[in-house]
Amino acid sequence: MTFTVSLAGISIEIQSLYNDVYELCRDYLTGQSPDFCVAVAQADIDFEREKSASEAKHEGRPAVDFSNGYLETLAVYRKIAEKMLEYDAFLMHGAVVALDGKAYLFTAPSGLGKTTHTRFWLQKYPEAFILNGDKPLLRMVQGQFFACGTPWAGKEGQNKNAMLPLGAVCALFRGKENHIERIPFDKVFPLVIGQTYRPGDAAQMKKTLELIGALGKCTRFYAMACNLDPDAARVAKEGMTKDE
Amino acid sequence: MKLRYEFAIMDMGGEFAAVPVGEDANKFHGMLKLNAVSADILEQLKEDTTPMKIHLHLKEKYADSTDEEIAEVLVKFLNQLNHEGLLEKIAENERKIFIF
Repeated sequence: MTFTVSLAGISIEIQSLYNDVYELCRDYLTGQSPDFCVAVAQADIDFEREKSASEAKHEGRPAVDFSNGYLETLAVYRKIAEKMLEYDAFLMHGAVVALDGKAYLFTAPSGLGKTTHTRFWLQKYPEAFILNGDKPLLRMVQGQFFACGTPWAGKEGQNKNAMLPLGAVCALFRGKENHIERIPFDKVFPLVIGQTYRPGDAAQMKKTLELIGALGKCTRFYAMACNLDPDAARVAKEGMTKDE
Repeated sequence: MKLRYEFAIMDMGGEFAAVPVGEDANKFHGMLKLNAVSADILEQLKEDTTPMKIHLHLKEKYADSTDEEIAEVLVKFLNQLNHEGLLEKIAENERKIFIF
């Protein structure tokens, strides 16, 4: 089936073999003419299956027998993420919470508590919402970075079709007490790169690094030690907004 | 000697990031965080070269440094790369510079 979605302000025609991608992208459908097209073949789905099995082996966990439809959603996003580099956008693993018209990206290795932390924001600030809980796109427009909702949003699937100025990026760590401090980019860029989708193609990887370098020049970065006290949301919010 | 994998190298504002790319990229999980001199050495190692050629290159570029200072930095970094398994085509007469 063929349909068009709008992500990060770019219209993308998707030609899929299964219905899963269409269902996933329902909130992002658009009638605009596409800026580019991605088409999936069975070979792309097979690639995702092999990659998934390889990662499971590397991490010492049993491989999961994913459906072709689910694997196709991964294949589509991989193609989109690589093409999006031409539009100054890249995929970074993290949870983005939106408040007062700005987006705050929390990044950390999997299982470190991004979802728990952003849940505290929703409890503390009723007007806050999750722009994307797992795989947002970050796009640079006229020297400013925007966080963009996408339907690829992890297990919880929290996302919203919106694009907001990126207020800050915060690296989360576990700590006994909640504490946040601003950190220079040279201290955090290895983590940012580690949490960013890496295309295999050399030119695309170079472009990804260029965009991360640009992000470092125009975005504030923070490191936050946090515990399971919901007050972590207040500490994070006040710490990141006092420099605005 | 040369790098085992192709790397994309980028200035991140004074410090440099080097990330493997290409078909073999997933064999090296991670990235390298480098200073300007190490990034320069890594650039030289994209093509088959020798420690002596790299030394000469660095000597031209960092004229204020002594031969010994350059050699110390170069050998230390080559050792680190070798330890991580990132070098290949190491000639027999080049192996003596490795302490690992």
